[in-house]
Amino acid sequence: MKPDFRKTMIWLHTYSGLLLGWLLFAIFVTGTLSYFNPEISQWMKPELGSQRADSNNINQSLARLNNDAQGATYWRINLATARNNHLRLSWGMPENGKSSRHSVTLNSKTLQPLEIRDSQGGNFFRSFHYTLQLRNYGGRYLAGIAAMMMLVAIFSGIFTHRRFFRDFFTVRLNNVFKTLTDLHAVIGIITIPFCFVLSLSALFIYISMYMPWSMDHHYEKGSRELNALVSTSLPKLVPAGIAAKPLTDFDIVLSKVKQQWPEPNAIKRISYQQPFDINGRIVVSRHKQLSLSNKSEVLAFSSVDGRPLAGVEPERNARMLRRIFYGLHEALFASIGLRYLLFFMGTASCLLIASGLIMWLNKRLPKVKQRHLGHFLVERLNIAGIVGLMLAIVSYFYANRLLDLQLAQRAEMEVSVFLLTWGAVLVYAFVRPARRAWLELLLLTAIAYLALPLVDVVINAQWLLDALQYNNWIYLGFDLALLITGGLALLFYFWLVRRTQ
Amino acid sequence: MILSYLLQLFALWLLSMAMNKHFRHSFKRTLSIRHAQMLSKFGWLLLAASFACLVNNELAPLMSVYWLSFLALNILLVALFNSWQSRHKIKRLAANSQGAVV
Repeated sequence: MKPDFRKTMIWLHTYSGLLLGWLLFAIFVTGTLSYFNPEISQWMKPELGSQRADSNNINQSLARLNNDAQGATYWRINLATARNNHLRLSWGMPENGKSSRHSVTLNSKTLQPLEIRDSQGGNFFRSFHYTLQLRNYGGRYLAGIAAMMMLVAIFSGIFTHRRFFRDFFTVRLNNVFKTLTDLHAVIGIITIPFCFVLSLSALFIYISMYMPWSMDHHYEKGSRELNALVSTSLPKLVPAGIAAKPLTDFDIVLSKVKQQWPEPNAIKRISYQQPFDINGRIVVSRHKQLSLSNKSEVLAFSSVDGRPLAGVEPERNARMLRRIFYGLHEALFASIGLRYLLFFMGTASCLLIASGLIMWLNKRLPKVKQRHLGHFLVERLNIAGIVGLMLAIVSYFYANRLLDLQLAQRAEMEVSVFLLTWGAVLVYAFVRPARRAWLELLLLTAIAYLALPLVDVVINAQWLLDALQYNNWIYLGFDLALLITGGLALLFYFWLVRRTQ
Repeated sequence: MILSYLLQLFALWLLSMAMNKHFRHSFKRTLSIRHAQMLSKFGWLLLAASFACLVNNELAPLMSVYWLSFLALNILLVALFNSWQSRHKIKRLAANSQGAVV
C-alpha cells in the first residue's frame, strides 16, 4: 500500500505542478514584485521627485483644501511615505445630489501641483497576480484554481521529495541535473510555510466568490449581508445641517494622535467627512506597521474642535482571522528588512516552480526515442512562460518611459505593451529551435534590463541626478535591481552557451 | 533580533551536524550515537531559544513571521554551506590521491 501511495503522490505532484506551472510562475513573479508596489510606482512616476516631504505639510494641505474645496462633502489627504513620495489631496463636491470627485497630486516638499504621467505603476503587477487581466472573465477563479493546485503540489511534494527530509541539508553540486533536483527540493522545503500561507490566504481572500452557497443560503443578500453583520466600522455620520468651519490647525489633533500612536510617521491618511457641518468628523488612519491584520486602525475627532469621537468596535475573532490571513498575504506590515526576506522567499518560490517545469522536461527527453506533442508544448511554454515573462516585465517599464506622455489611455497602452511582448515571445518560442530561442531571448532580456537605466538617463538625466542629490534610494535601488536582474540573465546566458558548446 | 538570527543559524548547523554524513565531511571522523543525540538535542534547544527570544515581546505575531523567514534563509545557507564543504573535501581528496599516484 505504501509504495503505491507514494507513486500516486509523485504523479499528483508532477501533474498538478505541470498543468498550471506557467500560470503559477506568472502569479508568483508578479505577486513577488508586488511586495515593492509603492517603490515600483515611485520609479514609474518620476515626476513625483526625490525631495522628501516636510513634516508640516498637513496644515498647508488643509489650507489648500480650505481654499480650493469650499462646501465639499469630504476632504482627504494621502500623505507621502518613505516608500512613495506621493502626496495626494482629493475632495468631493456636491453635484445634483451626488458627490463628484476631484484630486490633485502635490510635490511633497514644495506643495506645488504636479502633472503625473498616466501609469498603473506597480499596481499593475498587484492586480495582474490575482486577476490575470481577466477581471470580468473568470481571472480570479483561475487564480483560485492555481492557489488550490499549489496547495496540492506542496503537500504531494512533501511525499515526493521525502529523501530530502531524511538527508536534510544536502545539495549535490557535482552534476547540474542533480543540483537542480536538490535545489528544487530544498527550496520546496524552505518555502513550505510561505507558499502554504500565500495559497491558503489567497483562497480566504476570495472565499465568498469561491464558495458563496452557504452565505447565499443563510442570508438574503449573501456575502454582502454577512460582511455587514460581522464587520465593524465608525458610527454612521448624520449631517446636522448646521454650517461650521472645519479645523485647519491639525496640531490640536496631532498631539492626541501621538499619545495613542507614538511611533514616527504613524499617519497614513487624513479624511474630513462633512467638513462644513457641525457634526463633521476627522478620521485619521494609521500605517499598518505593527499589526498583521489588513484593517487600518483609525481614530475619529470632531472636525470643528478636534475633540475625540467614538472609535471602531473590535471585530469578531472569525473576521479577525480572515483579516490576518489577508494581512499576511499583502504583508503591508513588513518593515524593509522583512520585506526583503519575503521578496527572497517569493523569488525562491518562483525558482521552485521554474526548476520543476524544467526538470519535468529534462528528466524525460533523454529517455524518449521520439518526442511527442506534450514534450514540444512544455519545451516551448517553458521558454515563453519563464524568459518571456521576464521580457514582458521589462517591456512594461520601457513603455512607461518611451510612450508619449500625452497619449490617450496611456496606462492601458503600457499594459498592452506587456501583453503584446509576452504574446510575441510565445509565437517566437514556437517557431524557433528551442535552444536558439532560449539563448536569443535570454540575451535580449539581459540587454533590455541592463540598458534601461541608461535609457532612463538619456530621457532625463535630472531624475538620476536628483535621486543622487537627495539620497532617493527607491529610485537608485530600482536601477540597481534592473542591473542585477540583467547581470544574472547575462550570466545564465553565458552558462547556457558554455553548456551547449 | 540579530541574536535570534545567529542562534537559529547555529542551531540549524548543529542539527545538520547531528547527521553522520555532514559530521564526517566537517570533522573527518564518524559520529557516535551519543554525540549525535547530544548535537540534536542542543540544536532543538537553541532553535526553541531563538524563537523565544524573538517573540518575547508585545509584537509576538509579527516577530513569528520574522522567525519563519529567517528559518527559510538559514536552512538554505546551512544546506549550501554543507554541500560546498563536502564538494571541497571531495576535490581535495581527489587532488591528494592524484598526488600520491604521481
